[in-house]
Amino acid sequence: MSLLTVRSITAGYGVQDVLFDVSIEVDHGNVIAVIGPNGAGKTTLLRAIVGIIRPKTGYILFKDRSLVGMEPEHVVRMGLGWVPQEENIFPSMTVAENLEMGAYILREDIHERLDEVYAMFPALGQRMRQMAGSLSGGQRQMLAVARGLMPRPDLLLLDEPTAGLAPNLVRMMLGKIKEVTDQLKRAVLLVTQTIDALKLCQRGYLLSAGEIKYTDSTDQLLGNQEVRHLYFGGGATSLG
Amino acid sequence: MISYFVSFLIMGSIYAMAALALNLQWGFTGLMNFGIGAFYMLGAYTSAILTCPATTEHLGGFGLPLVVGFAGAALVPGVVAFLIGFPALRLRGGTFAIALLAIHETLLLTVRNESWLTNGVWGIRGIPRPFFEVINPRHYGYFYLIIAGGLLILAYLAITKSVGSPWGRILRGISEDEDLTSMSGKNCWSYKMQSFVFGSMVMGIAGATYVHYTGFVSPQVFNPLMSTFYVWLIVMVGGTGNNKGVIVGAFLVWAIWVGSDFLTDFVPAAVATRIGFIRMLFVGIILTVTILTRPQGILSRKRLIADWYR
Repeated sequence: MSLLTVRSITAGYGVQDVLFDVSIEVDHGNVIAVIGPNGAGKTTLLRAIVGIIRPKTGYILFKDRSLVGMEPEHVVRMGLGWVPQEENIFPSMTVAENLEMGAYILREDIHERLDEVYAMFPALGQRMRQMAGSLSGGQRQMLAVARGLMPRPDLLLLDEPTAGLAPNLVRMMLGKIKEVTDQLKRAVLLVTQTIDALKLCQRGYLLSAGEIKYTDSTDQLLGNQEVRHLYFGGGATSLG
Repeated sequence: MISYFVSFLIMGSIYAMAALALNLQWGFTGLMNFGIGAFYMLGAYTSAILTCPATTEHLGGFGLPLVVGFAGAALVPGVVAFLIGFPALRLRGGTFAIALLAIHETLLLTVRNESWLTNGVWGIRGIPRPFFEVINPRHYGYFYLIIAGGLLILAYLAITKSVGSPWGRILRGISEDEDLTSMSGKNCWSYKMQSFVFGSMVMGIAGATYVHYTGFVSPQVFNPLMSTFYVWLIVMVGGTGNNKGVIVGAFLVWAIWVGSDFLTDFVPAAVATRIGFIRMLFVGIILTVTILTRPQGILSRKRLIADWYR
């Protein structure tokens, strides 16, 4: 049984549907990509999974339990973390406060957990008392991912964690994601528009206009001429 | 002149208390409460009814100790806020504000028209003033200043301690991003309710402090301009999300308000009769100047948070 099963969901905002009959699966410890152009519904898919919007049809199972109708605060307690693409930190709080916000569901002493996260992201450890709003773009993304990791989620949903970052920061961030999956054995559902990020994944789903157009292993997806033509722009390294 | 200054400090303290409560709700939680006057009024009337001697004019005659009056002034607005919060806290931003404004107007109309309860527009007289019989009336203002100032300090410490705690951090998270805060495993609605009830209780205590100072209460005091938007002005001028700034703002804005009263001595008689409107114009000018020159207020929220980690 998969860790996460999304089956035939239709979801959107008010009367406007954005996702149509979307199905995906994520297994334990896997890194799964969702790729697609802007406006395809990638972020909406993640928002439906964490309970911010409610699917109109279909179901979502996480650890064999239905997430449909469950409030986000209960979803996160089941072991699911979410890092949005934008507005993913609390700017008026310090780095340490942001991380503590991510650890409220832990019953254990969080200092050990903070030390682990600072070891993984040394730049955050050096800035633990700095206001998060004053961090650079790359540091903000690091903080957002670190906050998402604080409660040790079994599955982390990452919404374009490399968007808007300089190439060296993209490599650093992808290295951290690889560390999360290789060392911490966490599953990741990664929304991305870059080939380098896609290469980290075992499998990918191509979402376009709210529908899953293709699903295949990463190698097959990269070798698919239509996918390359539509979203990779020939030899380009960006999908967007 | 000194007694005038003492009176100024007492009224400034009362407004500062109400503004601190709004700061908890708006500055730290993002709840746009346009119904401050409703909770201020509920506190004022509750304490008046509980502590007044026997009368046929309105409900009451309980003659209870002032401590009970103040406790009731916190409890009743708290319970009402809890009941209102169930439907109202499902709303966000401007719609929540309009709902609270409507509730304020409804409660104000009730107070004006239900004479058996509140003596309607004639108001309630003879509200007990603490130790008024045993203190020389010339010095009574000093004594009441200790009470009002003490309550202001208590409100400041309680709210500042609360917002600096993990509980307050959740509130600040909600004010910045509710969805992200809910992913911390916290029920944002419940926290908003707690902030709403806590703030409303402090507003009620401010109302009780007012009526036991003046000894009289009538619905005119609770018009939206003076009881709601004036408090908003204080928070905006003082600094949203900064409790010290809000206290500074309360005394500054009150000083401008009472100071403008002296204008009548310097303007022609025809203008002096319209001085009330001119004072309202001042309120508009203060608000405009604040928004244009210092939108974050005298003391900004960012500075306060940085202070905690110094």
